[in-house]
Amino acid sequence: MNDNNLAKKIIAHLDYGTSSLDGRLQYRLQAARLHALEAYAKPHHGFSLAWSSHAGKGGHGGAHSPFRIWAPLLVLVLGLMLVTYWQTTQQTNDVAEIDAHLLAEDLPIHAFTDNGFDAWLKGSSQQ
Amino acid sequence: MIRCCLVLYSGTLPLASYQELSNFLAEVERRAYKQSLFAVHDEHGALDIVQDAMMKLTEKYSGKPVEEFPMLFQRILQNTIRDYYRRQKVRSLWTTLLSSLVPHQEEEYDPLETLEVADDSNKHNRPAEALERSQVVKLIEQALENLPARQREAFLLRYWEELDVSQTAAAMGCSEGSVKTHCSRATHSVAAFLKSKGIEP
Repeated sequence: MNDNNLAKKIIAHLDYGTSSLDGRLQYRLQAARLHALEAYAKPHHGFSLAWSSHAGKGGHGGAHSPFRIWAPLLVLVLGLMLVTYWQTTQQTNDVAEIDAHLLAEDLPIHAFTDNGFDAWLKGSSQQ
Repeated sequence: MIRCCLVLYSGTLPLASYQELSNFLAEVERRAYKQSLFAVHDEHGALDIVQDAMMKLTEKYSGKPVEEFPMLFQRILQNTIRDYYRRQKVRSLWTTLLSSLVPHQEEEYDPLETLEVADDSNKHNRPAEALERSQVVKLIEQALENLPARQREAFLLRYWEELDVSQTAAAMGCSEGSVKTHCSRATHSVAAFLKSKGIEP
């Protein structure tokens, strides 16, 4: 007798044993099944990320999927990097603009650092 | 329309309905219980394992096509059994540590209380045949309990759950060759055990 036939005979006995399972155990298994099936109809939380509605259905995995944990963090870090980059370039642009104004003026640059010139400007504006 | 969307979501297979999931669990629950019992040798533990596995399948994979359920459920069940082993290991370690600190108290018990009485005497017209068959079942179950865990797992998945070799390999996380070896060894071990008890399988 080959392995398959031998295994099938053994399994037939196992099936017989399972079919005559104790009534108390059958009841407990049924209760466990009904309890598990209660989870089928449970609605998803309203306040969740857009893709999380599929999270419970496989795909990226369950509620503890690494994707769900790391994705918001990644977005946060990228956002911070963007803000820092924008601030740095904006400051550089401002400095460049001031420099351009100073260079385009008729007055020489050292006139702005001269205290006497500053006092003369204030005095002439008061008059 | 909803059905159409569900078909699109899953690719080619339609997703399982509540009734299909319920039917699947009803069909598989007894075998799952026996599988767990062979593995953990504890009725309550086996029931907990089956319930946990059913919960996980419903919570996380109920949106999958019904054709994928047997494979998914078996993976979940085997992982839940392994988790149970791990928890038992930790628990027994703490119990050993604590029991060495607490003085041992002898409990009185009646050995007759532990004796199981067969209650299926009225179920069959031929009691002798039924008794003989239930004895063979008990011996087979005993043989399965004595098998190495991987051999038992492969044998039950392959022949009882009727997964094919590649599905069994995927569920067990091993190669197809290993599955074939485990199955063959398990079959011969059970047959040899029965033979040693005077039973020709």
